[in-house]
Amino acid sequence: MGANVGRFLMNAVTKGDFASSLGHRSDCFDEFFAMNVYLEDQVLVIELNAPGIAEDQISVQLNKGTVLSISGTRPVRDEKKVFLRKERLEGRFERLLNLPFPVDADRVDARVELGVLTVKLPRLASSLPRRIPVNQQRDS
Amino acid sequence: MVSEQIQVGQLNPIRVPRADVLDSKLELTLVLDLPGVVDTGVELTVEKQVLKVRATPERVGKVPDNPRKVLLLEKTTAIYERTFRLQDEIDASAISANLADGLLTVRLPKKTDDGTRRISVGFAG
Repeated sequence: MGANVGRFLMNAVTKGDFASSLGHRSDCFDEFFAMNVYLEDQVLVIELNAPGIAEDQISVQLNKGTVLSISGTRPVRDEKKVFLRKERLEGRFERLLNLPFPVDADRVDARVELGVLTVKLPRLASSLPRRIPVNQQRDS
Repeated sequence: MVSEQIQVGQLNPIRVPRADVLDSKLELTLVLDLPGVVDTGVELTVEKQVLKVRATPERVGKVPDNPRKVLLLEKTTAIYERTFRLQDEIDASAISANLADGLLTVRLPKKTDDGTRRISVGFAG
């Protein structure tokens, strides 16, 4: 099972054609910018695939405390080379996320490792559900 | 009766990593997106002019330390795998690869006309 997934032939340069794929299922591609969002205690953890993008190319922005925007640019290769096949997405990207609760912008941590961006957003303390004590009024 | 333990997350789908193929006079360059992969997680094999790339991202098979709730799941615990057939002009014995920031760059030098192998010298910095 799975032996024929992802096979394709690479034609010789001299023939001048682009590589054609035989039985290549494009729905098997792992999505660039695929994202997972977890909740660990009261911290939102976002993991975003961003291979080949340096930290200074990514911008994490919090709008109105509950809309998160992750954007950036993957540089387009400008070498003097010819593309025989181009599948990887390059250029500008953006992902928007509606956060389930307001977060503390001062305590947000974002870092890139192995081509994966991890953003940790702690919940704003004042937005935590809390119990309001009900006092009994007594006539003295 | 023997009971069978099937664990959550035991199956890993195979995903095809996106690849660019660039051509210059001396070599072909393959660039693959492999986010979350460490160099020890990549397996590159060449057999009979077929190049196979297989990579396991770090998170595969690992249970997170803290208990957590999943709110959105687009990434899977997939293993990346892709094969490429190399044309005769490629010198399979001179293939080299480098992994950085989730990008795998594979250099496929071409055989020169007189059959000698060209060795490229890299400069640091």
